Amino acid sequence: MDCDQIEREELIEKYLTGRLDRAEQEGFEAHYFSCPKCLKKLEVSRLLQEKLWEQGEKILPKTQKPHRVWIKRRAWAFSAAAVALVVGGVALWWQFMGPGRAPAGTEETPFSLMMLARIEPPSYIPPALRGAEDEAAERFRMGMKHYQDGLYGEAVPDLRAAAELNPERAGIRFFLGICLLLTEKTNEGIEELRKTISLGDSVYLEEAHFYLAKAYLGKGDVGAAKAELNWVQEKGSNLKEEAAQILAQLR
Amino acid sequence: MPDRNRERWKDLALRLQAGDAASESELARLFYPHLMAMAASRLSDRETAREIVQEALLAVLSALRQGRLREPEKLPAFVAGTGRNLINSHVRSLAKRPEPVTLGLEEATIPDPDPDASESFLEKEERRDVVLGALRGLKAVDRGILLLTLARGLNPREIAVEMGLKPETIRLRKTRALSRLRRKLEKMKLKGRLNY
Repeated sequence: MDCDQIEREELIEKYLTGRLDRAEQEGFEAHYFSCPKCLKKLEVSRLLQEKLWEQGEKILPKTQKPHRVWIKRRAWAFSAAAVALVVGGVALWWQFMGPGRAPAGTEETPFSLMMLARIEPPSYIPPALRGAEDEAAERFRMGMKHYQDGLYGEAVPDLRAAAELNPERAGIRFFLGICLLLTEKTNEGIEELRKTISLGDSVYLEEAHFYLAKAYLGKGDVGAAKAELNWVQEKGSNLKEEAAQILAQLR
Repeated sequence: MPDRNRERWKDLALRLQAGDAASESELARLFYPHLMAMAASRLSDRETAREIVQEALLAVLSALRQGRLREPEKLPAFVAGTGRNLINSHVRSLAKRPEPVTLGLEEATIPDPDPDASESFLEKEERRDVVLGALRGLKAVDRGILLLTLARGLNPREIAVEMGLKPETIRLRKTRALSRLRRKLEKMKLKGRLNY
């Protein structure tokens, strides 16, 4: 075991959270008993861990205070509940932030808003029957193959090419926008979703407004997000309830 | 372990075995941080960790005096093993503490090099503020990543799912945030504003 391996395999964090097996644990201990550099890293990480245990809720308002236990391998199973509490605390957290006090894009996005901004990739079911395809449709089909495999970054070039070949097709714009958001190209993703909306009525219109709201939340622009969510609540159908829930948390 | 250290450990072990009192302080000074890191990482409170570290150091001394360390150049591994055994015993049975080690001296003591041992309430508060201040200097998303990593025990892949980011992004942000904090806290330590 060497310092590089420890860094690469994140052994300090795993050691501190009880996620090493016995042999790995002993190997790491043998290493840091002879390595001042790794000992220092361990000491600081442990200090931070203690403070995060004690002060977690102060650091992230309204999060659940973590239990002071030797966290076992299955700790991840509790994460969903913890995250739900984080999200649930957004309303109070937001009171302190004040909707008018954080101009869009000028401050970092709070962690709690980022949780609300999480994007679940919308499902895509390819048509069962295919007629003669133009080039745009072919590129779209290729891109969506990657999309279905969860390879959003790899889907982008094909979807971009498809959008250039057929700029008026809402489905191409929409999924291109989603892929861009999922690969952290938020501004470009927003642009594509706006274009989807500007194409007018389509089966993707409601979803485009909804995901645009998510993208704005990711950027910390709550005002713009609310406007999109209000649209979904007033004029949408499938995502109405979800939009209402997010709006309630933002209030 | 580099070869140059082998001689050093051997020398220290032999001095301890010979009953050199000054070497006891050296042993404590050299290995207290390692043992404390081990015990505090695996137990729930610093007070218990400190007690176990003391026991471990006494047990090491006792073993050395009795000539039970066959390869003195492997002193660090021996200290680590002793500490690990005591911690495991403690974890297995909180009620049953290992028997106190008798050194053959009436009042054998190991100097306590832990700066926290005599830390006052105010000093503890200040230390907490220093660490908190450093944490608050991070972006919220990075604080979130550290919270989920160190306090909740999630790995980057699991955090990525929770936060809707890529695992590589989580890993990169976590590494950068930890490096930044380490540098900052190291500076504070050098200025005497923090002990760990």
